[in-house]
Amino acid sequence: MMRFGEKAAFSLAIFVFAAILLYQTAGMRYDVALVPRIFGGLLLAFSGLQVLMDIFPAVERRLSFLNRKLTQQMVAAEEKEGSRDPWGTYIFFGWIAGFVFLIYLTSMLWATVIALFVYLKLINKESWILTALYCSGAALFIYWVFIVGFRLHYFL
Amino acid sequence: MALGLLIGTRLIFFTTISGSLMAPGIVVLALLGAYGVGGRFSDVVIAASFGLISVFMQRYGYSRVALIIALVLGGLVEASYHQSMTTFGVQGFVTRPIALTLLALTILVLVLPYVRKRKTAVAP
Repeated sequence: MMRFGEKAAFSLAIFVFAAILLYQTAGMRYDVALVPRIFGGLLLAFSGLQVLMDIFPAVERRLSFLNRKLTQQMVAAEEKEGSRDPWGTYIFFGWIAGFVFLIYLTSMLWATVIALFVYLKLINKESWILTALYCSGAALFIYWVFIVGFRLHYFL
Repeated sequence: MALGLLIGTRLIFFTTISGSLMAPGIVVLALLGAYGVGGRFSDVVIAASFGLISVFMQRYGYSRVALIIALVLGGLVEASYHQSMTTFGVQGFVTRPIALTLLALTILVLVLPYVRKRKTAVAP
């Protein structure tokens, strides 16, 4: 029996990264490539083992001694996370993505003000006073420290 | 130091601020720092991507602390390793007293938990 979930996809991504890392050392001089090959090889071996354990439950059961402490930690973390609202997490990630997109569209200063306003007023439903103080404080901080202090005009 | 002692205890109120108010500020500061280095949008994307990677690492039990230590110390370790190999060769790790002591302590620290566990298991 096989199972392919999020965990297997993530460990597979690490495995592919390790494989690419090792492939990149192919054209390097021996002494330069030594350390990347050692760590890349270790990463490839362990991530490959993790991929097998995530995709084949039989392998995970056979090698249960590797996962004992980790499983207890993950169960504790899952119980703690289960009590939180999952939609809140997705909304927060969406807000971060929106903030990054705003930085691309406008500038860091304006993106910060708009994103903080959206988060505090629309998502968190804070008061107008707190929202105004927070946004203006952040804008002033960016202006005085980065634009006036460090003279980084690309923040505008 | 005097300033730290003076205002240190007064800054305790920061711990009473709710996480939902601190979180956007922390995200803003992190992305500000990433953008401030070179003014490139790609730096912001990389910072946000690593934030997402760390969420998955925490969820699936991977150590984020180990990754950060590796990122910070990895380059230094590699450069020092090449310097030692060029200057002293492989035998430099076992013939020089300080290097030998550090190597022995490292092996001891790695092996000791298993030895202790075995002793506890064997003892009635």
